[in-house]
Amino acid sequence: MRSVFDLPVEVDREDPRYQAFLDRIDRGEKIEADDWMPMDYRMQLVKLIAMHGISEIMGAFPEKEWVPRTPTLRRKLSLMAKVQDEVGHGQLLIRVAEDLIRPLGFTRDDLFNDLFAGRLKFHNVFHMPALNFADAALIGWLVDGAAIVTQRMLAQTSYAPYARALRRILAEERFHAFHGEDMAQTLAQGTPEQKAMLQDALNRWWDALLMFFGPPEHAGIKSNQDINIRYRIRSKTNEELRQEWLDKYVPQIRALGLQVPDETLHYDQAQGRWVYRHPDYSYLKNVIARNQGPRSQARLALRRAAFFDHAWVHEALAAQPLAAAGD
Amino acid sequence: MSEERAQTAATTASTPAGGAFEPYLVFKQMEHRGPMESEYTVLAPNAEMALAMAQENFMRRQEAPYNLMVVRERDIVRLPEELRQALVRTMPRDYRSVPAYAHVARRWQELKLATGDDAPAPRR
Repeated sequence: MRSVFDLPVEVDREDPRYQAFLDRIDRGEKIEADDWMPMDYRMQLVKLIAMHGISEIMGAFPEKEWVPRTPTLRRKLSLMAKVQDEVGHGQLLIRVAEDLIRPLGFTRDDLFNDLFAGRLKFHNVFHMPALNFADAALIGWLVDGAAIVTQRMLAQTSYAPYARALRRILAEERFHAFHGEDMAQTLAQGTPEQKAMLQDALNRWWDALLMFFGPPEHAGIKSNQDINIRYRIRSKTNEELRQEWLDKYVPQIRALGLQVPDETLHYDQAQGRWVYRHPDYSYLKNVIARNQGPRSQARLALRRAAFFDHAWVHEALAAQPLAAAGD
Repeated sequence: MSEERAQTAATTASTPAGGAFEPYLVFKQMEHRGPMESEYTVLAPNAEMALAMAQENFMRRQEAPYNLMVVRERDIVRLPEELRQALVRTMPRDYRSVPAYAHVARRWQELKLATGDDAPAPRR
């Protein structure tokens, strides 16, 4: 089966358009979908945005499992609205990715085939199980918190359609963050069992949360950070983003009376950074990237089922008369 | 002239070849990443000419825009007035608004005061 990710990525750096493109980027200009762009810029964007889009959808699966069992009508409405938003974010982002692959002769269907074939990855945190309601709270609080840190940086990206989609997404993420923090505060201040549930969730999710940002520089793991920074697709390294996330959330975790499951974690005032035990990042390559995480195959099965269960929608649309050519 | 014919005459014009010009809506974008704003219409035989006419007839006298876009008027589908009622929200949706969670920020302040805030100095 053909894949956009199998296309050769050749860039003629002698092409005068290439230098003009770099000059535009360096002046802080934004690139539109119909502007000329080098193939490696286009493909980095496709990888990043398609993965981001599909992760929004795969992330809705573990959360939606908790909608029927969410206590109180208000929290149920809130969680449902959040799940709707996440799927909407996926739609927005996949549209942005589609516009990038259309000139190469590929479509949305090809991206979904890439997902099922394991060529298109989804974020590591969505390969994890959501065992109880504390996991739902933790996803809203800390996973969304990590996503917001990353997305706030990406909103400054050099690719204008992605920046526009992210502005809309970030506006909705503000409510998601409060929704998660509210649940975390309530559990932490609830019964001892509720607080213990939240602590247990934190213990199980901690490494995955650190891995969310990817390996640090010079960790011996191949990453696209350098080229993405050169093209101003992103402006910060994985480690800088992880430090920002620790800045905000370690004090919150401690304020709730919870323990970070890393006795080495401390803030080094002299260095102005958090010192902590790194997780085993090879897990990302050897397990997550191969869709062999605890819930990888189950979540992919949900996505396949969603596709087949809703095939009637595609068929009903396909049965509609097409607009005549030139109309 | 009937009302219908007058309407047709107002929105189309005959070409020498006997075809009809059609109205195109012109949108301008004043700055990069700015919104596309609907401006006016031009009558043109095709989109390419509509774009050229928009540029020549109107943009000469205005501040130069960043970009222009034309769309054939009959390709635009608008929601009929009677259906616009459906856009009005009737159910309260404050559960998805930020102000509805003001208590969360307040609680963080109280909790951090109670436990001793060890937040590092802002690095940004």
